[in-house]
Amino acid sequence: MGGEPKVTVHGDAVFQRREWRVERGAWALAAVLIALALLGLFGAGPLSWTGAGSPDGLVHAEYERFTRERGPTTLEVRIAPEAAQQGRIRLGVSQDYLEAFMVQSITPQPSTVVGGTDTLVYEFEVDRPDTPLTVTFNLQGEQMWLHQGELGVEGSAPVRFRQFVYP
Amino acid sequence: MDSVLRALAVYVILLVIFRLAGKRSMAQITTFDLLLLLVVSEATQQALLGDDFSLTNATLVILTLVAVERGSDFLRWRFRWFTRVTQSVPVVLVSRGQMLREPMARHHINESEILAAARSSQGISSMAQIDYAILEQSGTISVLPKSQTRQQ
Repeated sequence: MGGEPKVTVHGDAVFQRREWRVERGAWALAAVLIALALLGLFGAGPLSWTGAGSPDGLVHAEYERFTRERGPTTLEVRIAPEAAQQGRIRLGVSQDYLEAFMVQSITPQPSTVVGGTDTLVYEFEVDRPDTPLTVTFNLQGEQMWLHQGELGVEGSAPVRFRQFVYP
Repeated sequence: MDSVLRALAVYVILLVIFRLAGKRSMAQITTFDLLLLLVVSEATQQALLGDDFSLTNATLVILTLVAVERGSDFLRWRFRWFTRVTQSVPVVLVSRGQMLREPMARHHINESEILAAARSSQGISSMAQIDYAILEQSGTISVLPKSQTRQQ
C-alpha cells in the first residue's frame, strides 16, 4: 500500500462481469431486432408486403402482413374489368375488418357506399371496360393483434387475408 | 423498415449539423441553449416518427438511435480517425501561461471565457496562474493551474 491514499469503492467484480455479459447479450438482441425491423417483421418491408387473390383471379389485394396500431397502412385492390356490371364495380369489404382498420381515404372515390349486414359495399363507376380498376384504401390500424379481412365482388369467391396489428 | 431508416437519417443529419457547427455549439448549456435544444427536438419529432404513433414505431426509433450511438462509440474506441471525424480533437488554447491567439480566434473564445472556466473549475482568478488551457472535444475548457503542473 506504501503511503497510497485509500479509496473506498463499493465495487463488485463478479457483479460487474455478469452485467457486462448481460449487456453484450442485449446488444446482440438489439442488432437482431433492428435487422428484423429492416426486413419488415414489424411492418413495411419485404417480410410484410404480400398479396392475395380470389380463386378466379377477378380480385387481387396487396396488403401488409404486419401493421401498427395508429399507424398508416394501405390496401390496394385490383379488380379485373370482367367484374363490372353495367359500368359499375361493386366491391364488398367485411365489416369486421373495417372495425379493425379505420378508412382514412379511398382512391378513386366510390360513387356510393352501401352498408349490409356484415359487409360494406363500395360502388365504383368504370368508364373503360378493358382496363382493371385499382382501388387504394388508406387505412389506420385501430385494434391490436390479428385480424381477418374479406373482400370481393358479386358472383366471385372472396379474397381472404390476415393482418397483424402491433401495439 | 422505415422506422429504422428514419432514425438513421435523423441521426446522421444531426451529427453533421452539430459537427459542422463546431465544438462550442452546445458546450455550455445556457438558458438559451436549452431552449434551442428543446426546439430542435420538437422539430425533429415529426421526421422521426412520421405519422405513425404506435408503440412499436417509438420503440424501433429509440432502439435504432441508441444502437447507432453505441456502434459509433465502438468505432471511436477502435479507430482514431473515426473519433477525429465525428468528435474532432482537443485544442490547446493556453500553453505555459501564453494565450495562443490563433486557435482562440478560430473557436471564437476570448480571454474572459478561459478565465471563467478557470474560476469555476480551479478557483483561479488570473491568467498568470494558468499553465495550460485546453478546449476539449466536448467543447468544455479544461484548465491546468501552474502550481499543479510544476509539482510533477
